Amino acid sequence: MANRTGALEAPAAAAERRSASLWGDAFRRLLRNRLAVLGGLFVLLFIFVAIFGSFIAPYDYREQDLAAVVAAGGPVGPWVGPHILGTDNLGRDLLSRIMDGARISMIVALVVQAVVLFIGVPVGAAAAWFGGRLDTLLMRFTDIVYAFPDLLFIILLSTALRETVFGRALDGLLVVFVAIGLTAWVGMARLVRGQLLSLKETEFVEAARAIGVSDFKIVTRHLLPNASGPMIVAVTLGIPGAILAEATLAFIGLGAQEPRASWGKLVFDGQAFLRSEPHLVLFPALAVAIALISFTFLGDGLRDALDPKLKGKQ
Amino acid sequence: MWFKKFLGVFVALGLVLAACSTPGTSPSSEASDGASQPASEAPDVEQVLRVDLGGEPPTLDPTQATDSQSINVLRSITRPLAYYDENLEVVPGLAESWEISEDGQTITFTLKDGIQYSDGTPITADDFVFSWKRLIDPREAAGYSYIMADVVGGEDLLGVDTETATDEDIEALLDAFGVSAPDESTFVVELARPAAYFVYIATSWTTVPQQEGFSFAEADGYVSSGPMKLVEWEHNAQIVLEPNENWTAGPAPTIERIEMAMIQDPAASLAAYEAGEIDIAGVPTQEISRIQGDPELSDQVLQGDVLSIYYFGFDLKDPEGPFTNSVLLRQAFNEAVDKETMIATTFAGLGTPANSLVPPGMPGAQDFELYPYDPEKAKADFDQALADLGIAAGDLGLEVGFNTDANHEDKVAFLQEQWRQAFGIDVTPVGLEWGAYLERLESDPFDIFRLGWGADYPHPNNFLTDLISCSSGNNNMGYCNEEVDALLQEAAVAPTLEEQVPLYNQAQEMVMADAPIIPLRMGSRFTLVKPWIQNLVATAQDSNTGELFYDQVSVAAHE
Amino acid sequence: MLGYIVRRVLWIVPVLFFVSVITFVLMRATPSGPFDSFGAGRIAAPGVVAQLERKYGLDKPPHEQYLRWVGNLLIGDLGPSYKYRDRTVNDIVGDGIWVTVHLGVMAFALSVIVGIPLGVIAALRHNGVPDYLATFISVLGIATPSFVLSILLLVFFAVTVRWFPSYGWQTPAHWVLPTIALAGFPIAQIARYTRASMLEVTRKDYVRTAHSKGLKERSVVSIHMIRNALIPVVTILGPIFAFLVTGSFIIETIFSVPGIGRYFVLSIAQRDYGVIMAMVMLFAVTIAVMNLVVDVLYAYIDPRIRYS
Repeated sequence: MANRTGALEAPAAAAERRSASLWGDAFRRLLRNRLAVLGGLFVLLFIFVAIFGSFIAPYDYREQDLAAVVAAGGPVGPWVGPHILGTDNLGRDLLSRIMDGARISMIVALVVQAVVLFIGVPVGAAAAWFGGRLDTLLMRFTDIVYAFPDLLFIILLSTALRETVFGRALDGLLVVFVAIGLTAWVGMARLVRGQLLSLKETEFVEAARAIGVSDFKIVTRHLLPNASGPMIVAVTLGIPGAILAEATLAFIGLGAQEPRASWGKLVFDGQAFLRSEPHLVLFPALAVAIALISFTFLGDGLRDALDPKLKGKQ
Repeated sequence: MWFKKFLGVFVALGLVLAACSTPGTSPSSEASDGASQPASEAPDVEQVLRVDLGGEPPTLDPTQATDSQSINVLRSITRPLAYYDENLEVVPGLAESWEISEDGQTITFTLKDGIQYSDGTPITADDFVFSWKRLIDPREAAGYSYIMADVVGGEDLLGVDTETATDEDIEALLDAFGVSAPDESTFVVELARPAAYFVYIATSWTTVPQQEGFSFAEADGYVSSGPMKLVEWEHNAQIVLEPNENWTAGPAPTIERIEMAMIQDPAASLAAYEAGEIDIAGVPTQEISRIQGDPELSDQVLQGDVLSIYYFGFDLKDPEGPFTNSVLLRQAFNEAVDKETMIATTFAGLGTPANSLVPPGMPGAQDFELYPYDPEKAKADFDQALADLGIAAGDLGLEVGFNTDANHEDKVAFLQEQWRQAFGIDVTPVGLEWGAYLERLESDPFDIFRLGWGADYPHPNNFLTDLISCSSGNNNMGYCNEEVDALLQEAAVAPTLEEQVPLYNQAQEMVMADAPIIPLRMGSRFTLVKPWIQNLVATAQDSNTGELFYDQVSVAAHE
Repeated sequence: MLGYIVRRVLWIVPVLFFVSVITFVLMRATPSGPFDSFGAGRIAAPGVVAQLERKYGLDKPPHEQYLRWVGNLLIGDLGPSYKYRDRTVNDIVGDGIWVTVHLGVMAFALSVIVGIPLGVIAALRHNGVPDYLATFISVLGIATPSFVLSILLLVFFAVTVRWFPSYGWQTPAHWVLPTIALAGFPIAQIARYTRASMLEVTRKDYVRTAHSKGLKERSVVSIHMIRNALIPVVTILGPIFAFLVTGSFIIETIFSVPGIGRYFVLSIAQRDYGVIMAMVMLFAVTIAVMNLVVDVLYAYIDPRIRYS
């Protein structure tokens, strides 16, 4: 028992001093984790494609090879011609559309998760740390947001706001971030609160308080890092969620509109072809899955790297 | 945790739309070729037909029914005065005959002898007086009340302001409504103006006989006037029909039981067919190529026309709008579209290019190919039109609206690219959920917008007067040509179809010359029918294949 | 604790009040109403729309409509359905709710039975083959849209091998595919959270202490680790349970399950106001209760957690 405070000890000054090397150590540990490195490389690749996709794509994302579709009697399959991943039923190159779609999907995935962290973590942490009335109010508020009828809200947004500055900002994507992000943070808030409720009763918190560490530092330096595992899971699982949710929005007139693509929209449009032209749903879904797996490995690796105790453990 | 209750539904609306039947993507219907070989049923085979309604019928009250699921069931369990034969000619239903007066304004129906409801109550002319009045009674607010507009007093009832009108006022108007029953078997309709197509109104499921106190909410107590009766209605699960023992108005049903599933998703419906759990299934557009390539399933395909049209309309309501002020511009947008290729790619080759309003399979259907695909002529016309209007191509800023619930994205993307290539302009697609879309059409129409129309009854009037005349509520274009309306009125007075058709076609040609819409595709069905289902008669009017004559189906021996 | 529970139950009332007001306002502000179109896209005559709105009291001022709705709710009347004209919202909810709950409970049980062991194994064999396998399964479960999973299950089990029927809910055989399809996502979710919190716990010292005391690995796992790893898992299980027992639009639609889950989306598309309100309220109650259950469970799992 005694050595527990040792591990998580940390008078303020010591913590400051340690943090620089802690991050350096963590980074070195991360680099030793092959899967995490692989995940990170893929994430970089996705970001690269998101930025430069339309320059390096083999075709224009909206160019229609109608003759090929008529000749093939339907969407052109993969591997058979100049279109490596095949085409959709308008003869548009699927690979080029996936590359074009990376832009919207990556932006949505990352910004939404940022919004989730930005709102969910402080709300959850404040509720747990201060408890009492604030906890009650914040948590009843999350109950309300859980039950919030987002589909109605979004339909309303799609018509009421589309002509306003807010509605048009970032090609209409801002609305998408807000719509998904504002309702998706509740899970994170409850997760953080649940863990902190337990952690704040541990001895090291009392110890830290006794030596005058500020509340803010206790929460951000000690409690949140100890709760990071499930938080990282929530973020990584939220990524495909946001990508697919964007398709629902595109569907209601927000987000990616024809002829632009997004992964969610490609998966969505491809679903009905599942049995006849599976490549139309398989490849976009694969892109989502690879993104998820890359972020997962990177996230897992980060967590392991930030945890000195697991060092060397296989 | 990201998936919220409503947002997380992903495909959600996509499936909803499947409920708003689009030809080809949901169980849809058409003509009889194949699949109806002469009956050779083994008498010991269970005569059970298993079909899919595609969802829970919103109501089985004939007055209120407007959805394909409801109509599908009502076709079997109710019968109007007149009905159809397999060629969609009007034939006697519960009426034995009818007579139209010299001036074309009085129709006298004589009911068949001894006809009864499923509970044994006789069906009398009073029951039609009751149901017809109920259809137009403002307090019922029936969606199809407008089909009674031609009857004496009909316009008055449709125009009643229920806020100020008292029950007495409405009763008085209903008393003056031109339907009467001089005796038990004679039903007389007085028309305010001659309407030669009116006998088609008497084929509508909304005009079947009813008595006061009928309840329609559950199978228990449901009184049927058709060849089949409702024996089971398990909500959201299934409906079961069995022959009505008191049915004498037509041939006795050969089928002994009809089981109607409610599979909402078209892909799931097709899977149920392949699993051998239902006997008839529509094929979603996206799966047509797979079925065509399947040696076994391709033999079970039933194809044919459907009375429906898929089109894009131009906004002619905006007095400043470019399309309002330039016929040439509308024509240019027509000429720039390759309909053949559009159908080949976005409708899996199903359907015929539309160059008119009235679809094939309807009497008097005629093709007016005024705007053959010609991108060069289109570009010339486009430039000329813009020069006349004094607008630069870059300033057009056109919005193309569509509802996002039924696979219209690829059609819009196709058109967008056709216009980009022909004219060098980018139109902006705006997809909205159906309700929001409808609101925009009314309040602030898009420059170009997608719409469709399907037949309520197989007569050109339903595709012209009801769709494109100046006063039609479904004329979202705001197109109004007095000459066209005059021709339509003339056609309505012409006593025979032979005399009406040339007038309707003259009107149609005039409409096409004005190009208020881009007609794209006439409907078509692609349905799978199990080989042991015999005597299934599909018509272009069916929204579910064979629904008009389910009772005459028989089942041959199998497995 | 009892006082806490009582207070929390009372708190559900204001939560429901806010949810209902928000929903009502959003619903009525959303363009188009229940009667503006009918059939396959026919536009209703303005007269007909006005008559129906009057008939159902939709022409009254909104606050009056809301108060009338609340009044009826208090006597257990959820009002009429505008889409299913001969039925009330009570009929619709009453018909489908137990099917939906039944399916949801089965899917929840399956998710927990599969998901937690999957996560525990992954954590115990951290960065080993079982861990990667479990990760792989989870990624599949999360990245596969439920429509795709459902159709694949349908095609293989109902069409190809014909082990299970493709639609309906009549017999236990009908329950299998929808349950698996509905559990696909939560299994993956639960496995990931379980794994993460197990790993979180492995670095806590008392586990090592237990190890050093020579306790057998299995008892270390069961007594100390799982208990402490439970908090995040319990946190997400609450909402997962609430989501599952209130049904899924996609699963119910594809497998033709006669539940109420489909109405969460259908009612909005149809602007069937009474059904929308009922669905939102139902979900709000469920989520509020489940979050209460979660909070109470915290105190049992970790006795240090106390609510003032």
